[in-house]
Amino acid sequence: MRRTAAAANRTGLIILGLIALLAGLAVLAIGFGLTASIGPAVEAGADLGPVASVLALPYSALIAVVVALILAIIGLRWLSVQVPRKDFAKPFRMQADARTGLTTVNAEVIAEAVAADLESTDGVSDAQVILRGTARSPELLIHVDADERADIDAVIAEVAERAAGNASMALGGPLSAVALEIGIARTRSRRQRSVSIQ
Amino acid sequence: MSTRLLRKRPSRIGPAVVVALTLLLLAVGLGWAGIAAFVTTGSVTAALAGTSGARVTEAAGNLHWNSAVVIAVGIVLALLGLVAFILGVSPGARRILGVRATGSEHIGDLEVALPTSALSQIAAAAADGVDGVSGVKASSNAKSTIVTFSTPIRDFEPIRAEVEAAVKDRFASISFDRIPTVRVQARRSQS
Repeated sequence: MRRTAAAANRTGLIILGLIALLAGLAVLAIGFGLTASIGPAVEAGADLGPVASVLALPYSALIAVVVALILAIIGLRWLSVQVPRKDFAKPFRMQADARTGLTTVNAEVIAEAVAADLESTDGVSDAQVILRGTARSPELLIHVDADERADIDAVIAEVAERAAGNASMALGGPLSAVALEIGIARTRSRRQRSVSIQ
Repeated sequence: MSTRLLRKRPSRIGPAVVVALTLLLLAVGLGWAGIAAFVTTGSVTAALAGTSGARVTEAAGNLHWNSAVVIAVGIVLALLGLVAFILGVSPGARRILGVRATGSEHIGDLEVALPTSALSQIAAAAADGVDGVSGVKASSNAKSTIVTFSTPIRDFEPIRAEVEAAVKDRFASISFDRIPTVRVQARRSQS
């Protein structure tokens, strides 16, 4: 339900994977003597001295620090986008005429009201709601935790009919999209959900 | 709507975090070496190998391209790269099952889904209701569920059939896009 950086992750993995794969294959190609025809420096028996001599060039320390900074920025930025985001809508402007004043409603407030409404549904123990989009085309993302023995189809119908209906009435128009994810509430112990006769 | 609201495939957060941390480690190592070279030589034109440059080039001079160490490094690098590339390209296992639902006039587009973990819990709860079952475990992917239950009864075949019927019944009561297949295994518990 929350947004993740799936596209960025996959692109990053593909790019860095290809770089590592090609570098590894190049090392292997030289090691197994496949590049001997190119030059004496890349023969299988040659030593790694020419590669290491790059490190002894002037300004190489400065270049290393700059490269380190770039790598650090990429790494930190990539890490920071891994936290799943809720991405609530910006506050809705509900007024008909802006000259007479603005009426704004926070998406979080509506989402909380919808969640409270959902939790009163039979078989639903917990609900999380995210509201995205605009006041004219709102998108509702709902996660409900249903009881493990609840009638799932009835829960879906109840959410689609009653809860979504109430939300659309509150917003004053139809919802452009509703996504409903149904989880199962963590089971209590058998003793708590059954009656034993002694 | 072109994009779906619910994510069907894994977003590869784990591998991405590992690769990002590796990048950070590389950055720290390179930065450390560079700054150490600045400090020891005291000038901006310093070489990365610094004053100990002779030592590094000498060590590299002793390594040959066809030595075991270099080839091992090449193999490890190529394998890790291949794994990362495959993780990026392959879509990965579906983590949710679609459920059919009729929308209503106040909803433009209704999308309903059940995560595979919820499917396992529903199957386990259905199996747990059968008499003679002492413990249940269930695991699911987007197409099938495997229920493993334990029972103290020696002849467990009737109970196995009953559990299978109970789980299938439960799944049939939910309007999945495609009803997942059910496999039931019995294990005898000592009691």
